Amino acid sequence: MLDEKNEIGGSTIFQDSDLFKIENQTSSNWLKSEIKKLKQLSNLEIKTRTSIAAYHGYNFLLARENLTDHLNKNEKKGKIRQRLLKIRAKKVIIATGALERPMIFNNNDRPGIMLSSAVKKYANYYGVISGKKTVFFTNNDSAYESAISLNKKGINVEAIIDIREKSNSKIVKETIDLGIKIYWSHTVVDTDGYKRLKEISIMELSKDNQSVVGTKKNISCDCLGIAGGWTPAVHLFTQSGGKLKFNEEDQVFLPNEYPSEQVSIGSCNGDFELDKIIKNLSTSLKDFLKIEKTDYDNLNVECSSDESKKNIWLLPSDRAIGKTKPFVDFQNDATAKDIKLALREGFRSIEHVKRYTTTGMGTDQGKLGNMHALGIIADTSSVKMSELGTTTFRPPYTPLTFGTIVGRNVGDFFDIFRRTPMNDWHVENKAEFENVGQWKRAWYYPINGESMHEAVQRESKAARVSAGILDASTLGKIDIQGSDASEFLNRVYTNAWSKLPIGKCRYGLMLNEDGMVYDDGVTTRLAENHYIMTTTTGGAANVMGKLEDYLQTEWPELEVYLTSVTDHFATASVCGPNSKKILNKVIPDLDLSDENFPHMSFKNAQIGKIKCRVMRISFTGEHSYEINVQANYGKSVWEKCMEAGKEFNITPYGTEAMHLLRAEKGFIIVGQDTDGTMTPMDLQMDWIVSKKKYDFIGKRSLYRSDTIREDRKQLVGLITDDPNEVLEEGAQIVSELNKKPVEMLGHVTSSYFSPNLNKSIALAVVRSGKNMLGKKLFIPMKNKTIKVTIENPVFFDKENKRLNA
Amino acid sequence: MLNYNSPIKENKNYSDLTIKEIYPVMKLNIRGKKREFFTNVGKTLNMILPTEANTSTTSDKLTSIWLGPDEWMIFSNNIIEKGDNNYELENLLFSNISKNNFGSISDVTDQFVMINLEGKKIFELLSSGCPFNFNEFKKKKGSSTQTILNHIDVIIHHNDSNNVNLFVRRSFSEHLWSWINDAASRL
Repeated sequence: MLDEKNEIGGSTIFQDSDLFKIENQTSSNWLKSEIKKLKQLSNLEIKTRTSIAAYHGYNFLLARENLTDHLNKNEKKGKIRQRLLKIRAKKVIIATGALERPMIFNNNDRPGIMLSSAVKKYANYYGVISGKKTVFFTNNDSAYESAISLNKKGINVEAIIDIREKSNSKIVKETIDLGIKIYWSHTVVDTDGYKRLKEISIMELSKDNQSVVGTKKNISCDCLGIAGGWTPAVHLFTQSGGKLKFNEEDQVFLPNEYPSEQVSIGSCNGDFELDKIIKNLSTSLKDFLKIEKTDYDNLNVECSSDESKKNIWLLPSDRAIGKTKPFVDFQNDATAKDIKLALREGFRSIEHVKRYTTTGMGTDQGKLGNMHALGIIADTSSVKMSELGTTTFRPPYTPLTFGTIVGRNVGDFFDIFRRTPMNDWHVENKAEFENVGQWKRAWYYPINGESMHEAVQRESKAARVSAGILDASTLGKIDIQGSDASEFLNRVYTNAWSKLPIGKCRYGLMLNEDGMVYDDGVTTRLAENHYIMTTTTGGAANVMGKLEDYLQTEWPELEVYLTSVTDHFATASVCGPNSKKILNKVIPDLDLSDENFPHMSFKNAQIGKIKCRVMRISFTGEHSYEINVQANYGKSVWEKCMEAGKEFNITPYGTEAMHLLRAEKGFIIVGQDTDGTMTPMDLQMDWIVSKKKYDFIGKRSLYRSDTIREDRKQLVGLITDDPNEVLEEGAQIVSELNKKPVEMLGHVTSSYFSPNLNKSIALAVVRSGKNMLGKKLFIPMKNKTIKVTIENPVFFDKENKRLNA
Repeated sequence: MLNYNSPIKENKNYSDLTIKEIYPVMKLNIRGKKREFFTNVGKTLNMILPTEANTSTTSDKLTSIWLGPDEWMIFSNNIIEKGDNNYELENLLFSNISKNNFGSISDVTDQFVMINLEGKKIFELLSSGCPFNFNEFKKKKGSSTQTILNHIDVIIHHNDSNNVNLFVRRSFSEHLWSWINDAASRL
């Protein structure tokens, strides 16, 4: 149970009149004892100071809980102000009550003019007098209840101005008995007072209610309580998608069609009198909750009934409307005059009038004046209110702070980060980090104030000259088991897997259904029906999801099980001419001879009692080993490698040097050199696509007319005429500078200065690039044009001699 | 000898809430749907895998959590030895299940960090960052769920009254740990 006020009970909690009784107690006393019982229910959570900010479809509600606004400055310190509650309810009961309407008359916006219910609440609930000489102006019985309340507390009520001819209800009779002066059939035509209301002027209404007659009477007062009737608070109902209908008798919009399991009860459903509320409450709850009876079935309720009703949206004045100020929207200072002007200007729709006049666009969102705006439009243009409709009620019902919506998704919590098991070592060794997906990866390790360029050049050089070490833990790893594991890989990758010997590794390209490169990585056959697949860092979760999806929906006949083990393994990749010597020191028991442990193979090993997997695979083109160990030993393995490599000046290198090293070898990075529009043929990797296999994901698309086109963009190497000129990644490539419009052939995808070749190198995609080897092209930049030549994308060690060096 | 480094380096206490990492705990992901899979797992583990969604079963030494119709995670109830990751049970299961093509056995000991929450405010804490409805969950010991907590995938296991195990992928654990502490300090 949520209540926006600091305690539950609504306005009945301070209804103290003897005319309103439930079970022979005053309504407030009866309610208080019921609330006491409610609070003792163990299965009911009551949240006060909590307002439903929004009621979305399917009974999803957002509530704003005010935690500290009621506390004093010191108590608030360091505490959360508001909390957002997300509620998914099976059933919702709305009891949001009704909002009192103001009256629209000349000069109705002066300090001291307030809603009659507010005057009453100040007096009865807060113990505050709103004025010493109070007058009420009303069209219904509510003001009489307020007047009696004030009178009983000894607060002077000067008079009641009532636009009705008469009323015979009990409460009016009691008011008359108390000697309060009532002006029937009268209206306020003007008010006076600057910082405080001083006086009101009233006149008698004509028979047709269109004008005033007789002489003006002035009443001195400092508070005017206005009571223009009640508007059911149907905002939450309509936010949830509910449709309203107009009730002509009460001139109110009421819930009509419920879009979800919900019910509106009480005055938000148009029941304004105590006896009706309680009677309808029990019937509608029994129906809604499908229960036989409620505790409120046969309550004895006494109350005064409002028998005569009269509503005038815009009250007449003795002056021409052009000379009056009857405010409709008290926040935006829009008057009835403005609304009439909008109609004269030709605006008919309520949505247009709203935007022309700004009526209903204040922070109260028209809760006070919108009904009057509608009424004035209907009266002026002779349309029925029911046909006019309302403006849309949008969330939030009551304002809430941005902070409440955002919650703790700020600062460090704005986005999730993932760390590798070696992260602490990278931090201790002053690595700069790069975000790769959600991972924090070591980017480069600057020493002695090196710039990024200097550090990357040093790291890249060291990896080829002696030894380098890279934290490769972020690569996705999927454990694949089952009797159909080989067949599964055949269908997933473009190349063939059945004949891969146990203990060997193979590089694979994975395509999307459209034939475009989706992911790549090395997969190792651990046993007959057991593989470990690696994926790209960023693609890991998507690949896992896609493969699992295929197994469950497309290939349920395959006996294959996938388990993500990305986080279980830490991976240290040691590369360079001295990598074998280093590994030999770290795992002395492992036979590292090329015969026993050749390139693209794997061995199980142990470091102490910790088992690990060693793969001899390479992304740098160097002789290279990857040690995969249980994550909690990852940092220790890394440190062991660093220690063992000390004599070889082992150099930790980050992702930037890794990118440079692989670019020297022309190895692609999916996502950098591909963008979802590259086929294996576009990458000049025809060799990896099996011609013999019956099928694999994307195969069919590789034979579409568009994918076999010769003039697709293809991956090539680029060499700049000036070896020191490093191209910008993304730069456009053209063949003719003077042709207009300039024909763009492609763009640079990767570009570095290679310390090992001592020149600038780049990878690019160029239209028909495959057949353009040696061709000179141009890269026009802002202040210069760079000349480049198309080359083979493998720049370094074309014979792959270093893999076995 | 290799040193052991768990990602969470501290225990935290709040009023009515204690949070700590439990380690090392052996965790295995087991998958299968054949009849032979169930009989072999039953014999090897001496326990029956839960087949009702979002439940778990416990023996003296092991707990198994339902993750899917053909997937479970089993973990050791007690802490295992540091510095040795040759698990007899894993080897036994692997030769009985994987090698016979009845299903799959994968070591996920360090795939997940196990965070234990203890105290009266557990569900208040979890609810502050999780869309899951814990009303039924908290009534039943052994219930489990796979959901998200502060946008991070987690497995939540109702260990005992006012005692919950949270399994989170190791790489996310430090972020989740700091979020849990932030949330706990604001309850």
